[in-house]
Amino acid sequence: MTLGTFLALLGAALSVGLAGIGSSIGVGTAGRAAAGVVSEDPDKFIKCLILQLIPGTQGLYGFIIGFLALLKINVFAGVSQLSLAAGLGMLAACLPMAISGLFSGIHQGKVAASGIALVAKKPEESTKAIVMSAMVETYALLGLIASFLAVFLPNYAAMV
Amino acid sequence: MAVAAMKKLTLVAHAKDKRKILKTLVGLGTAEVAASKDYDKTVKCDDAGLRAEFERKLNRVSFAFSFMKDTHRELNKLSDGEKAPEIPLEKLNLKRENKLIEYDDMISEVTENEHDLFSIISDLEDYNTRLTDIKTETARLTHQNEQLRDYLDFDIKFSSVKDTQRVAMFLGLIKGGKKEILLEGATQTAVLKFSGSGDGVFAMCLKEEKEQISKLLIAADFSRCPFTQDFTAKELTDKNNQRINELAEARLDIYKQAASAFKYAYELKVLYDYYFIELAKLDALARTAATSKAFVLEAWVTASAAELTQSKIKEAAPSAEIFVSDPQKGDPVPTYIRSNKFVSPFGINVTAMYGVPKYGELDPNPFVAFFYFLFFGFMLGDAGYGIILSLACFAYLLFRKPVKNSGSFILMFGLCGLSTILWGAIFGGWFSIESQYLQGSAIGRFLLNFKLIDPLSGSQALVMFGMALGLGVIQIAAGFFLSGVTKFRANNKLDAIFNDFSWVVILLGFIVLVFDLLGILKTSVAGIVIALTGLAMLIVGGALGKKNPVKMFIGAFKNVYGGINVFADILSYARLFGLGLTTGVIGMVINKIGALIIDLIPYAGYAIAAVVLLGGHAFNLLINLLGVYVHNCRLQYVEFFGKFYGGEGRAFAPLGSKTKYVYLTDKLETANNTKTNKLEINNNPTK
Repeated sequence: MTLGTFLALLGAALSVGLAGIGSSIGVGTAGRAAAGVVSEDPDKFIKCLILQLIPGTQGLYGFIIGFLALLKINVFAGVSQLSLAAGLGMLAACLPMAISGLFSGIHQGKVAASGIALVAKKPEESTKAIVMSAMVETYALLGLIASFLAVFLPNYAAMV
Repeated sequence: MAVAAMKKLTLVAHAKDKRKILKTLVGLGTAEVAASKDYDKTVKCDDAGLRAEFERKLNRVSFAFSFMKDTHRELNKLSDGEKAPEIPLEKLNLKRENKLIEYDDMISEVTENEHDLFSIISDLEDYNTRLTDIKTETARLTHQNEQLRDYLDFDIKFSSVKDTQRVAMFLGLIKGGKKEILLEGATQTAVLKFSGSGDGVFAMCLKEEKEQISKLLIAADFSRCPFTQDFTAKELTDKNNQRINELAEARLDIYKQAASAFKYAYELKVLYDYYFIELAKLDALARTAATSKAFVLEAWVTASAAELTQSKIKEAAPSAEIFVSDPQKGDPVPTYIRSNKFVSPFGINVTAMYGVPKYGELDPNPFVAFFYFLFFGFMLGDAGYGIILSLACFAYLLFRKPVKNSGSFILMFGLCGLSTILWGAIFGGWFSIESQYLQGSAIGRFLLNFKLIDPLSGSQALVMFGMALGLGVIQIAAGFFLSGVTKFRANNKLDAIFNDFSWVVILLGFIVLVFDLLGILKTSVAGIVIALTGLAMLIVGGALGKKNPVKMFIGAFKNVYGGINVFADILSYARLFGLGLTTGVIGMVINKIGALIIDLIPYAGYAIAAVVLLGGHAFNLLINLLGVYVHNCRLQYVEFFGKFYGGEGRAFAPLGSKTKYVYLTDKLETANNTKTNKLEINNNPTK
């Protein structure tokens, strides 16, 4: 394996890993709030669960970028030998998703936790809580799109 | 398809007709009682006594529901237990009934059953008291058994622990570990016995030594046994246990008896809603001005139902005087939106969540419905998922037949499923199966005929990205257009033309320009010219209505600078592309894992792969449904409504429309239909 391929794999790993960390922290924060509300009123379980789930998407986005990077490196059928420049390029391409996923996951979790508090008081307003936490996700989506285009469009294998 | 016209209905009637008129209004479901004006020598009175009675009745019915729920849970638990007695578990349904009933039927049902139902409730209340007693007694006995545990080793009746002529006796507890004090200090003749735990102590000594032993005991923190019964500790414990068992059986019996109330759940729900409406009526009365003999009731009715409402009230109370008038400026008129079958689910589940339009404001629902429908499929983007979604939703609607608007959420998703099928076919998404496999079968080749864009093949991803932004441009242009229309209707024509329509022109110019660059249109510079025209209009718009040239310049600059926001809004539509990608790629990963399992494990692999594929795609569909629903709402609320829509209206809530467990019929739409029929009949002769 060349150093370039290693760097590209590192990019994929960071994308899956960091975005996953962001999501797990976010889902964890929201989950603690949800458990508190459900202990008072078990009927609110589904509404709380939906809000808890929302910060989980960053992890999925990170996984998508990681998976596409693996496809590009061709790990499923004989690994491509990337040049150093190509590997660095792929690593850089994965970073928008990794970073935006990490931080937006954490902060979306906080908004979702507050949203769960909103559901505890006014369950009929749960859509508003969902939309508020979706605001944070915009930036993870932008990271996803930037990484997607950067990973997917260039022909890294041909790069010298 | 619009905000329905409203009329104000003012009626003056005898006080004795109050209840009759309110009953008529609930039965019609067409009128929302408004606060009436303060006329001279009238008061608005709230009947506190009646209100308290209704509230007490509602509380009793609510208690019955929660007690039945507890009973159901307890019986479930008991029948799961090891000593499972055969309990015929009756079904208990405390959910909202999918049932539409007439108010008259509700009244006759309640008058017929009310007495019996409340006697059932008082039975339940009785059971509850008995259960509380049982609980207290069980707790007391259990506690006593715990106390008795230290004395179980002494085979002596508590009553016989008392001094005789020559002998003194002690029975009680000492502090753990102080046993030694007694053993060391005791006299030769004294008898000492300790319980297994070492806490319980029985001491017997000659009367002469009583004082000495007492001192020792005090040093060991002795506390005298509280029991004096004519039983040994063991006998007493057995007796207690027997009683606890009896109580447990009695408890079960009570629950079994309580379960017989389950079959009245429906009647109780009707009873609840009856009193719920009675309270609403009191709220309405509290808003009407009254003297001791007469009262003035003001209500909002839809224009189409005004005539019907008027005639029905006349029927109920012939002496009532009714005036129908148009709303005045500044009146807090509620909004009732009449939409067609396609638009209304979007109106109820998307627009109303944000806020309904003010009376007289533009109804955004048709536009919301169109864009929500369009975007949904783009974001989900898999025709296979679309088929499943539509089938599931329409099957639910077909078999369950939800009454009134209770199925609108499901209907919306069913419709959005159709949009998903459409876009999915365009993107070639069929359960994310890669096209080289689809090529292998005749059906697959047929399905691929519809494919226009492949988001996962190189530069075509950019085409999809561009389309997402393009859809954004269209919706934002529509937003500006609607803003302009709103301003135009409010007679701010110049403002509309230069500040809103200018943006529509600019965006149109961009679209032409892009088409030109893509080679679809051959327009040379037309796009640029159109966009620049729009820009010029925008600059004029900023300067409009200002006299100071500096202010004119600042206004124009602000308008142009605002363009940054517009472009940020357009970029926000990139999420259409992002979410579309998510579904496709995760689906692909699931398929890859499935294929891998089939390759790795012979024979059994097919079964395992089937489970993985089913579970995986179900997960993918659900998580993306949530994402698509949320982000689609956001695009409507922030990017679209931000341009033109306030949503500060108040939804029309006619008397009798708010219930908890059943639905009441209303004449809102029937009145509308008969009216139009009448008009047609009237029109025919002239033709």
